[in-house]
Amino acid sequence: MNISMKTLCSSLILAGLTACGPLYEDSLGSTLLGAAQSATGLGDTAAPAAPAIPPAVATAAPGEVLLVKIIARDAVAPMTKVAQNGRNITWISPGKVTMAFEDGILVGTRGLTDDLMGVDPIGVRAALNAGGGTARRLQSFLTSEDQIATRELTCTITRVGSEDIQIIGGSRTTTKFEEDCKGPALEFKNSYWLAGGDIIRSRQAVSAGVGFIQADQL
Amino acid sequence: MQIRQILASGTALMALLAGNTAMGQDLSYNLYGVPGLIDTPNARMAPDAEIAATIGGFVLQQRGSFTFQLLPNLSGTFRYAGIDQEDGPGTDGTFDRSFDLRYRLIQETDLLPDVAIGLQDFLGTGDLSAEYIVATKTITDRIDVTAGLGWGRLGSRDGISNPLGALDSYFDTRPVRDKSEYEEGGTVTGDFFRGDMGVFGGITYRYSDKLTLKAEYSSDGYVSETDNGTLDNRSPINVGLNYTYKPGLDLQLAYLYGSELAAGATLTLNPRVRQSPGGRETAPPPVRVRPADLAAAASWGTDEKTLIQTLKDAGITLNGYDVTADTVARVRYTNTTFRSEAQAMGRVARILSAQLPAAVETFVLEPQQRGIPLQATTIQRRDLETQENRARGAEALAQSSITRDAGPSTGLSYTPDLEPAFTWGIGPYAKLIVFNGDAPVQIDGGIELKARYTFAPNIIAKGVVRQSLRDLPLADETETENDLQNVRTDGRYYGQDGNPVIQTLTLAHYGRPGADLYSRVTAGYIEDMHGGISSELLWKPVDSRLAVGAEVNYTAQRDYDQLFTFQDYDVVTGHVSGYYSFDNGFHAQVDVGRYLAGDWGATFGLDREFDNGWRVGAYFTLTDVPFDEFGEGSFDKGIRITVPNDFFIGNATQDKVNTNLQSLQRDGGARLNVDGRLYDIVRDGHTAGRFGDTFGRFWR
Repeated sequence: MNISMKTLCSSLILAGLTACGPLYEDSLGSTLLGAAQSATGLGDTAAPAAPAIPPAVATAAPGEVLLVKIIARDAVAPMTKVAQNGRNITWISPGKVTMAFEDGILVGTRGLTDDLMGVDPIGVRAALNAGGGTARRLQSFLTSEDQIATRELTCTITRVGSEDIQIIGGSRTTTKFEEDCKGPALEFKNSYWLAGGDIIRSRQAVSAGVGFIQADQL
Repeated sequence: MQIRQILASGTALMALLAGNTAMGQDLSYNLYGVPGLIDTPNARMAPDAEIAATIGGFVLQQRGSFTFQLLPNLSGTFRYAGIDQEDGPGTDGTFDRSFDLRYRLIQETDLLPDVAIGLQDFLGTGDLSAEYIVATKTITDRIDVTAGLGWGRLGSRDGISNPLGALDSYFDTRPVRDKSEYEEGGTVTGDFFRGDMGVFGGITYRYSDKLTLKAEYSSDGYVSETDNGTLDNRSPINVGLNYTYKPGLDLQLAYLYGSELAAGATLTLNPRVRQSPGGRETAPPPVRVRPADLAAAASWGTDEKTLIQTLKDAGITLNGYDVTADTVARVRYTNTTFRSEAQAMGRVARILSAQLPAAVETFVLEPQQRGIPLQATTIQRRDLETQENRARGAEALAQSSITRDAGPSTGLSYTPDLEPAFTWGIGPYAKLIVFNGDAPVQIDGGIELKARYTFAPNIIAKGVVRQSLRDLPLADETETENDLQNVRTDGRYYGQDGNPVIQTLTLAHYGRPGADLYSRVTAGYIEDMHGGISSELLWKPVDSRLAVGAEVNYTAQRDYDQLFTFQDYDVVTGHVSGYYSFDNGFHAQVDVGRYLAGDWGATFGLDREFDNGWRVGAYFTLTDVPFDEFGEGSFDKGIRITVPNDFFIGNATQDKVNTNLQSLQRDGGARLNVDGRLYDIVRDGHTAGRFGDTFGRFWR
């Protein structure tokens, strides 16, 4: 520890503000601070502003980047492919959040405070391909008590019509679909914009705590 | 567009359903810190598991209360009250501890009201004792009406003859207990529902979501306070308001008995409702699926450094591995980051999926803490590949994996430890000093230096040195009320000379002497007041809800300067302990043995445990020290709470805060405070334990 670190450390300790050293990383103080912030709402971190699109992202090859926005938080991040498991592709953001899509349908998130732990989207993609239809979903979440709660939903997928959307790189003509999902404990409505059979934009439900994401395929 | 949220967590769902039947119900806390009107209770129950801390009162009585909704229909309260000028103007005040229990007999329906029965201050000196049966009914969306019958304090204004007297004349009069009877007592008086009965009640009007107005008729006559002239008791009518500053923080204001202004504040918190169920930790690396061409397998040796570093970046230390079998990899690791061993294992498994040769089909994962392997879970790599991001993927994996007692250490190659063997920290500390002279509670604070040296994962030396920054007045004479050695009541003398003290300095060894067996030996300055040697043996199979332990300690009492010397008192203590974790979240513990003052007896503890790490419970100790010799309180008892740090801060951490609200620590029934007792460490890794309870976090 250098001199300035020592000075900082000791003055902070004397001010009763903090502690130093590896054994104090998660001390009582931070818990109390957390509790106070939680009770007062002062701890809510401001949503990060939308970052400028890095040139590397803007010029990336088609299909290599997913631009994802958490709508309620007004946070946007470019995500890149990190793993592929069959039809399942996992994308990662610079802030180390991952999202997995199966044929363009969101099936999991990690690193958000209230993650979508897993989805069985039975027939969603087939209904989109068929121009509409019904599907069944199982969606799993993590509860406050570390249990998995799985919700069953019945979904109706309908073709809304043709829509021109603005996406990085220009305007695209798409076909918009809506998926209306209802279950005893959960209801939401997702939207998909398809061009040439691919989902190039979607607005999909994550969880109660996170809300919806919008994902643009770049 | 909204996700209509009847949502994700079971609790949110239940809260909503309960909310449907409870439209317009007012739930707010009174000045006694229980659901109620102003100075009287009502029949409402808080949501299951809610914890409420209330500070409320008026000039004459200040009450600090802690209420826990033990079960949907049962709540318990611990209260610490300051009563000013107890025997009239100018006389001394007193402090009084009290316990309440409330039980809901009937839950409100369209026709029936909520009906609850309550015992207020049923232990202890009985200054605030009362019993009641009360009903509360919603009349409109905004109006609740309450009516109740009270005994004791709540029967002391315009009391009518007790109708229970018709059953037995025993109920006609409530004996007036002499203070001295309680001084050494403080047990259940058993005078419940005796003496005159009073009628109380009131109305609440919910003006808005934030503001509720209240008016009540109180049947508490404050007889002794009125008689001795400390309360100008002009009216039985109290009026007040409850203002919800924000969810979780309520403020109360009231005008009592025609002469007194009262105020209160209540903080509520529910362990079953976490702001961020997942926590703030970043995503784990995804499972890497093996290519179809298995020949692409790489050898382990070349990847060892990467593996160690990748695990380390994930907050996990690699302790050893065995890949001598071509298709099975056995990996032993220490999770230093995640509260849930299941979550840590999920991350280890995914990291291994990216690092191990494709030919490896089976992972045997052995989490270790303090150098002792806690279990071995066998996972098929194919299940990892197929269950990631599947609904119910955690359940499927829990079913297909097998957890057993950990295997032997033979065959494991150990990697050089990248963690520094020596680690340290400087930070502030605070401790409570009770009954130092006239002050019931003082806070000492200062700076402490902690250090730890790890000789081997299971041989750990550590110490804490403290320097107080407060100049606390010296305590008065040693208490000699009872014949017991002052093993705890001398606590206020320790470190009082203001010089640096050695809080603890110990060397501990952990081991696995046999199947399902765990051992610990700790030697040194074990706690602030006692030092010596402590040894422990625990039997706990991986899937057993029952555990049995034995502990034997030989210690001497340390000198007040808390340096290296001891007083002329040494004692052999020890306990046989039984632990049982019930299916419904309750946990029982019984310890039978010898305590620090040489007394023999048993400690009984019952805790409600939440899978997210919260724990709220109570315990009491009965020993062969007679109640009148024990001193105030009669026997040791208290409430204990464990709060996992990650619940609030969201970041993954294993740290937690343990708090004891002891009614009064005396010399009888005192146990050695030794760090690192085995049971909690071991149980964290077991399927019948927190590993199994938190398996939902495997994929997080």
